[in-house]
Amino acid sequence: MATEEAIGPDSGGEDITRPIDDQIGAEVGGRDPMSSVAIREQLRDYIVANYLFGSGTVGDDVSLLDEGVLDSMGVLELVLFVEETFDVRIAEYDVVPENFDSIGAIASFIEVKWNDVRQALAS
Amino acid sequence: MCGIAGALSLRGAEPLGPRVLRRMLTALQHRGPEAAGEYYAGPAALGHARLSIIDLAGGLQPVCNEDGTLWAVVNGEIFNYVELGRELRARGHRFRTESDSEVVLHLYEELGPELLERLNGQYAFALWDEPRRRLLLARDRLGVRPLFYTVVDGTLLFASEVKALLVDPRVPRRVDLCALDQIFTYWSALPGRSLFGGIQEVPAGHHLVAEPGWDTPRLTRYWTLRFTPDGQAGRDDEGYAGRLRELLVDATRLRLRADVPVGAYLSGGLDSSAIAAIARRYAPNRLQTFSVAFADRVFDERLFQRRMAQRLEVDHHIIECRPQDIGEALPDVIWHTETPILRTAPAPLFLLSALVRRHGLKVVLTGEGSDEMFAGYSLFKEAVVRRFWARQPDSRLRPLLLRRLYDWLPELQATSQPYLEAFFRQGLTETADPAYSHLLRWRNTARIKRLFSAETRAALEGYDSRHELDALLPPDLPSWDLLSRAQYLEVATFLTPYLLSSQGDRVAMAHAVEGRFPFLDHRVVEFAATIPPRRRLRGLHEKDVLRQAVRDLLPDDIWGRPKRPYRAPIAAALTGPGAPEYVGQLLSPDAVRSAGLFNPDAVSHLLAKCESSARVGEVDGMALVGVLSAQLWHSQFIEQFDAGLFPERRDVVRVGADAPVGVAP
Repeated sequence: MATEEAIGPDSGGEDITRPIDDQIGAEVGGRDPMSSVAIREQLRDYIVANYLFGSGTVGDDVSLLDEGVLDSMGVLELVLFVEETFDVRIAEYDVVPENFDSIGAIASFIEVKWNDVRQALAS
Repeated sequence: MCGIAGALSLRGAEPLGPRVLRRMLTALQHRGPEAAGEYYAGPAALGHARLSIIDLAGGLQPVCNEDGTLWAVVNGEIFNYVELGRELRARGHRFRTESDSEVVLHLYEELGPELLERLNGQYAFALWDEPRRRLLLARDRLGVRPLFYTVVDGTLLFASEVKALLVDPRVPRRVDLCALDQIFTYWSALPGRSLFGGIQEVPAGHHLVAEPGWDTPRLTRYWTLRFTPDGQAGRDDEGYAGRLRELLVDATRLRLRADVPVGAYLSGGLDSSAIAAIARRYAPNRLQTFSVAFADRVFDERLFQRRMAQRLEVDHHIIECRPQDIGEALPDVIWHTETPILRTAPAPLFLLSALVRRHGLKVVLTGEGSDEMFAGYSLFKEAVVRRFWARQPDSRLRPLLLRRLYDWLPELQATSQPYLEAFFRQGLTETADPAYSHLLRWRNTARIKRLFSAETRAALEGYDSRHELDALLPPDLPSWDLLSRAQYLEVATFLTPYLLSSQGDRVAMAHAVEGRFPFLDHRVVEFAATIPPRRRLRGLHEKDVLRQAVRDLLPDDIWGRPKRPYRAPIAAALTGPGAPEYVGQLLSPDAVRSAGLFNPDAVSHLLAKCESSARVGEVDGMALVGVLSAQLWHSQFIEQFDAGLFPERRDVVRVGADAPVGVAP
């Protein structure tokens, strides 16, 4: 499965200057949350590097399946990337096109998951 | 089995520069190492590199008819030559040899190009008709044997392999980018094309005629695979199985005809096991069988291979392929395939033919062709399931059948049901498209075109290979049933141009080994095409009629085994610390930029991803092998090809009227 090293040159988006773990810790701890834009950019970098071999770009609302960016197997890599990078637990029933078929959908899904964690920690 | 080469000047001049034919025959040395011959007649030249299999003493070619007016060079075998020869002799034809090649000449005397309908074989031949001053090139129905040609400088040149054409300095070496686009969609160039710009193949089931004075040769199709289910014939299941058994036995017996021992490949599956079992009964010699085994258990089938070999009491030989063996062999494999490949599976077969040769054999039977004709592939089931689902696209139950497809592909099995559905729902209702069965696969493969360079993309702007494909299909194909359409497409776009070539003839002939395919006997093929589709694929149970036909020949566990495709490791062979040195060199930005086909950054991304992934996915695997083999191809044939590497062949015997005294005829 691809790791961040695999995407090397393309993983250095401007909003991402610190190790991922720090960002997640900050997020979950309620400090300096990673912005929605940053999440999207990080996803975009990964998707372009990993599925488009670094060329072209993908809009927030583009359907990854319809546009042929992902195949049914590519989604497994994507799920693992999201789990590892954004520190969210993804259940099998979460792996549906509604959550993973566009950069916007994935970003929203991650934010909902973080919110769940935050609420669980708060209660 | 052999290689052929030659030329015809369409201007009626000398066809070739001095000694060029002998150098072309050197380029075909691996196909025919044992003898060579040439014949010149005015504007025509014929050359032959021989591997002796039938009539060891008398089979030297070129061969001529009674009065020396017809001359031919034949690559391959005419299996029904005994029956045809008997018939022709009874009608007064006099034969000079006991070889199968000679029947071509005598049949031509009677029938002209229509002789092809009488042949049961796997062949490519060239025939010079002196009285008519006409050259006929022909290729067998399914294209088991290759035949390429080009017209340069008013001369038609032909040869079994492209490298022999490239020996002539007049033949340019350039890339046909449309063919590259096709290869990265269908796995091979569409019938008729090659990746070499200006060099074409005589497509399977076609012949080509040329005469001095013509601008271009004329290509004619003489055979088409037609699916004509005979639902009305009233044959029951046993009837189909019984008839199939008779045909398979006869097809195998004909393919045991040889003046040298015949062996068999054993993959561990149903098809090759059945053929080996039949061959065991009829082979005059003790049968030897050969198998590929893999160090990686994911790919390995040696238990089934051994089991079958023990049951048949044959001498069994295996070659165990480690990933590094595949990596090391790939450059040689591409030298022989002369086209990029999208998986590494041809490499072990290249190594296997070397093993066959080391055991002194030149001929092997294999089970190739059965999956296409008896609906063994998951692709066919996929088409049937999706069409069933398309009739009620909102059904919750119908798409659950998707789980039963590709059960050997762990990545797909690990995919969640909603994603499986989302993926297979693409184009779900396009059932009226004649290529419905293949659209998803082609689209999936075409993802690797993302690696094309900006220049390649620009050159292909607006190009859509689909029109060219549609023009090749039988006009009434859209009215055929879904399964028949799918099978036709599979034969025309994959079996003939990819499997029989890159995974068949080319990797076997690399070591002068001839593969013979009983399932591709045209009588078996034509019979299979009459079986009603519901019997070819019963529900999702593949190869039903065939299983019944060979029930008694096989142990239960092999008889009942689900189809498992033959695959070989990719990432382990080409990446990581043990990767061959050429991988890094050919995929380096400089090398990629120099060849110009692919985007250097994209290739670096791909390589980095494959290097760092624990599991390389299907598409990435295809992309890696495709790009690397295209780079190998470009390096060997475009950038670095050196015609000087092919000196004049020394053992060439000149035959014909102007030959030195004492030589036939």
